[in-house]
Amino acid sequence: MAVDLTRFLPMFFEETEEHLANMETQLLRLDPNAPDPEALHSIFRAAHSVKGNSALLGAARFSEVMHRIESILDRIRKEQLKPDNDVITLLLEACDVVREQAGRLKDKGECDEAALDALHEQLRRFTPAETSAPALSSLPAPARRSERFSIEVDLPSGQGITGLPLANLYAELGALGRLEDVRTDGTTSLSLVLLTAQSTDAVRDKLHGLLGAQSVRVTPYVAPPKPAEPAPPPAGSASEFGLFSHEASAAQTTGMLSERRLGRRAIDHEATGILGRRTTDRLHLDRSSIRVDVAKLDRLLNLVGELVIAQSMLSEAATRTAQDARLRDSVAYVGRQTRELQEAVMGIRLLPIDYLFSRVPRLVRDLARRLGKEVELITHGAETELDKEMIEKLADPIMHLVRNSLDHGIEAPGVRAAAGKEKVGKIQLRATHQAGGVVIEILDDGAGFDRERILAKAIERGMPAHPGMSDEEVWQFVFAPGFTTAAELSDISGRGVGMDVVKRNIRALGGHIEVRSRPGAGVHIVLRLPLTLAILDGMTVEIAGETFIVPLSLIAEAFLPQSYQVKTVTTGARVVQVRDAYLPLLSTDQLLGLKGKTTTQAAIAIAVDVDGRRAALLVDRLLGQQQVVIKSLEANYRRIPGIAGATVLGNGRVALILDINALLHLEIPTSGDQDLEAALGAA
Amino acid sequence: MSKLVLTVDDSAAIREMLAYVLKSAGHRVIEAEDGMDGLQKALANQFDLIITDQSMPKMDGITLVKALRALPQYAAVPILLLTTESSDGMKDEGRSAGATGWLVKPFDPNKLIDVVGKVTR
Repeated sequence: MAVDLTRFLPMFFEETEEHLANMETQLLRLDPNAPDPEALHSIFRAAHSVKGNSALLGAARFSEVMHRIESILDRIRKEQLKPDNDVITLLLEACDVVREQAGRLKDKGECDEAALDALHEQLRRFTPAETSAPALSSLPAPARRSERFSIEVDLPSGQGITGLPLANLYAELGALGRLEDVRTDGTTSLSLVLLTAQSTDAVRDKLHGLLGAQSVRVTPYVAPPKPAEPAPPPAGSASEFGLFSHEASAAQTTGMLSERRLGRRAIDHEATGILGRRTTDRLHLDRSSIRVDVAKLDRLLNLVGELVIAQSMLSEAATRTAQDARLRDSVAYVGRQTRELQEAVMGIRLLPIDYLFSRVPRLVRDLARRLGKEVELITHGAETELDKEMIEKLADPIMHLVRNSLDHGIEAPGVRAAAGKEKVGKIQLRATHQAGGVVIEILDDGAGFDRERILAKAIERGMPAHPGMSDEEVWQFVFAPGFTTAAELSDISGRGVGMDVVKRNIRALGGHIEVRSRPGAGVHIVLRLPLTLAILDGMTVEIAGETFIVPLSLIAEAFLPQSYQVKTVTTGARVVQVRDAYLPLLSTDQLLGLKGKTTTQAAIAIAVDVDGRRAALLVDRLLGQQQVVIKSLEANYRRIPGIAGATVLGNGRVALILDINALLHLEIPTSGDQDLEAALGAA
Repeated sequence: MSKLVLTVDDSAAIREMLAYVLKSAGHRVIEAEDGMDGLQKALANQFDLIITDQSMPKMDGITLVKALRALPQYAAVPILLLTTESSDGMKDEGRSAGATGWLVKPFDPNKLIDVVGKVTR
């Protein structure tokens, strides 16, 4: 039978990656003075799994490395080795190397042998003698918090073990802790060993409730003296498959074994190449959940989006024409269900932000070491959910902001002490749901922004800065491209390359960024983001007879401009006075190249604020607010300057979504915009 | 001859692979993700064969074998241990727990079918 197993390869790569990430997380949490046995167990299991996968991946070298790591972990648990900074750093580096090599293997089908050799050599330093990896089951009980109990259960007479509510009993035991041993004579009693963090009373209460007080005894576990080990069967130790001969050990088992007289026969294992290295489509499967290709989810989301549109068309038609109350009710019901369906489908794409937050501790640890700073990282709200794509796109900006806080914000321990601060700096990451969106905050208790230096730098660079500016205005300068106050280059945060990029990225996600800072007390950065990239809260407006959508998040206010408020400046451009400020007044129809008829007299001005850049856009009418499903115009037509995308309205018409940021940078075209006219025509 | 097989492994990839190979040989497969899950499923169905990993969260493979062997209905059902390495320690543990045999990962699909045929005969 020809069986192609290469299709499973991507899953093994993915699982290897997950195990490595898990190891990393646990290693970062390990307390060098009192390593938690539970955590050690978990790291060990992950390392063991990677080792197990390595043969499947065709990477026997990983197996050697993981074997070394197991030995090191074994020494840690035996308290022969203290998991100090050096040890943890080495183990973390080992994870990096293996991850990198797994990536190479996946992409190029080969590993960098030299890198693995070097790692192996480094690991060897902590495993002096050639030790065989400890058996997993010999790992310690999490001794500090958990205990082992012996549980003796009397079996109902005449029924034996089948007289017990076994499914409930095992479920209960599984909930209490880890079941480690099961023995029975088959007729009178069942002996169990349970490893649990619960108290004797709690275990007893649970079991008494289930089985009755008379038939259960719970006592602290006493390890029996080790029986003399039977001599292992001489052959087969290198074989890949074998059958146990139970004759030799029948006395040790429960006595209920089938004494099958199956001759042990080793079956030779053929070449390890049962799995090729060709990577196929990514398969996603997980233990307690189903992994689904994101493309399928996107398709589902799209279909639901279409359904929402169809539903609103239906509802509009029904309210316009239907006299029948029952029809109207039904349509309303369909509407509610559609919205619920839409929410549910979007919910599938939501992931806890922990996916992102969990990457930060490593960054902080490595950076702090390099910079000689001491930092404590605190995260809140890691369970907060947001769209998967959003999480992916937020990774770079957030990493960058944390890097900045560590590099420029948190002071060296000596400086902090001199300033009367705690030596250990604090960086906090917080995520919360607020008003239908997500707020992510990055706070540090470092030195804060230096107002004078930023101002001086801004003036030096010819930016419109003056000493009378408010703090908020001054902080905006840090978002200018290439802006930095750092005296010298650092390879960590670079020369201010970044804040402008961070801002642009956040903007692209439909979010915005706020900065607060107090000298000496640190910097507080707030990112406000929508939950998803697929839906937009919009204001529908009419411009030159066409319907457009303006993202609601950018609208500061809408007003009727009075002629006394409007001034024409020397260049011919117009400004409008809004309270104490003059905003550029833009004729949206002209910007878009529409043959418009918008006049200031009849028009409504919408004041928009894009990252502090303000302007007023003239539109003919405000039509209302609504949530719209964003469709890419590029994917369906072509890119048009000033247009961010398109959506289908309830009346079935296509409306274009304005890209306000781009509009503010557009020059008024001299002739009509053929592209846009064509797009509107197509709509 | 189609058998009902329980596969127990915390790696979804291994479970998928086992199921793929076993099903391609005409067997029916139910999967469990750890020892406790496996035990519950074994109580709810009568399997002809159980293939279990050793190292798993919640309950390891050795304890699962012991718990299964304590049940009259599984006293004689073949149980195979999936292991990462074929060491003597593993074999001692497996044997005394009552496992029928062991199989080192990665396994050749044809050999797996072969072994299944042998132990369920």
